[in-house]
Amino acid sequence: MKTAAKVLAVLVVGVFAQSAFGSDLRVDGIAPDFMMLLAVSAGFAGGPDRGAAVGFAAGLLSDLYLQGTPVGLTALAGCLVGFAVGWGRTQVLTTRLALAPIVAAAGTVVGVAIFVVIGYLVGQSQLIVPGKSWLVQVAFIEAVYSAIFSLPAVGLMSWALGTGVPSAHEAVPGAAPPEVPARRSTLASRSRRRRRARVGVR
Amino acid sequence: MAAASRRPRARFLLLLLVLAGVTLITLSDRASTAHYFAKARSIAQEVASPVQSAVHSVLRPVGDFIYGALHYHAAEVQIRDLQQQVAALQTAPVVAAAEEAEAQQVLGLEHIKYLSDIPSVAAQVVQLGSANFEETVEIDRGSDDGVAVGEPVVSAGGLVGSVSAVSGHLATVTLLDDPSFTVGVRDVRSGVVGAALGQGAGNTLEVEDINVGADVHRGDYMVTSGLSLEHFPAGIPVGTVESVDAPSGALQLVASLKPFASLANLQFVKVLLWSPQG
Repeated sequence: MKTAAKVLAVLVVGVFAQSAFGSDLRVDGIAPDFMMLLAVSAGFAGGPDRGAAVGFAAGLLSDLYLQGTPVGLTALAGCLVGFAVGWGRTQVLTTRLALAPIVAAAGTVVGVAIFVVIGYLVGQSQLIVPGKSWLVQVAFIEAVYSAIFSLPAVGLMSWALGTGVPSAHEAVPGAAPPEVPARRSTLASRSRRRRRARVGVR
Repeated sequence: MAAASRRPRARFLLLLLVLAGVTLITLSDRASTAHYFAKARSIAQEVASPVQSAVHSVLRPVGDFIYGALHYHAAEVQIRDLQQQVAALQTAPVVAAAEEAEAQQVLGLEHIKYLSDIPSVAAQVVQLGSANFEETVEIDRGSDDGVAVGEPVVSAGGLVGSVSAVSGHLATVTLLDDPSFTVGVRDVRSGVVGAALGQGAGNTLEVEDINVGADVHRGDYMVTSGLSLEHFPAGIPVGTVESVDAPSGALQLVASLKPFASLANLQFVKVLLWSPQG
């Protein structure tokens, strides 16, 4: 419950950030998509199931502030991209924080593509009216913004999901755990052992 | 082991969410249930508006700094152009008034009284849309002021768009260049009618349904046609024909229309309290 409240708080902050100054950050008329970034961050920080759930919630909140597309479209895109990033995290990627910008950028491009394709399939043909070059431009600029804001987004999502911020040395999935070198017996450790034996500490 | 047991759960959750998404999309599009979603959007807009305004006010200096940094060169060019215009025209009107004069000239040709018989509500643009796949702005008038969905919105220059969503104190206006926007237009000079469609931010509108050989030329002015089933009254200036193409073998012309209204710099608009029924 506490996790859900924290995630909801982060998503609400994301929505307000998007509407309050998303437009001010337009480059060539294209604004960042903070909600898609949060969906990607949830997948990166929390895995596929959390990525899907948070992505769905982020997309649904985003849908409430759109007019031209049906409610549920952004939710569906967010859910799929959150799951995809989370799945990639468990199967292929490491969760090193240094990779967050690349994952955020790639995830955003995938998210835009999913949104446009599914939108077109459900009859929202206006999404492709401006042309392919414009869609590529949207995906590129949104990806750059996602890369820029990825670290705080992943940090926030990690805090909200309670997974902890990924470290610089997270183990690669599937790899053998690192060998712990045997501790050498030192004079100090031997004397500690003798003292414990005398005192009878178990 | 724990990871393996989570996989079926993750896939089941994904399937559930995908079904929920598809269900929402279907219900959102159906006429019988669409109004529930419109109401939900209206409530969300109303709830978020005070917080958005407060956050925007606090963060405005940051936003202005970033906007200025990103658009510094464009702002410089614009300032230079405006300075040249002012210097050259001396007492000439500023851009908005010049657009109004041009529109009045257009209407003078047709002896149409622009807006004089239609009640309207003046509004200020308070927020630009931040979505990339729709062109919208938010104005500070809502249903409490008599604004309703579907009503045309105009500026001094001409047609700007139409109201697409409304709450108590706010309304969302879908702009002329939104890809989902359509308006019936009429050539002022020849009377040829067609349909103008938005083509995305900053692009000219595309006028369709004009037969090959129709008397439409570059430089012609177009106004709303006001034909039956139209959502706009007749005579609102829309734009100037920039080009007319007749693809070989095609049965229809395609004309591009440059809007009179300056959509990138909207500040003050009027909502026409008009509906097709009268």
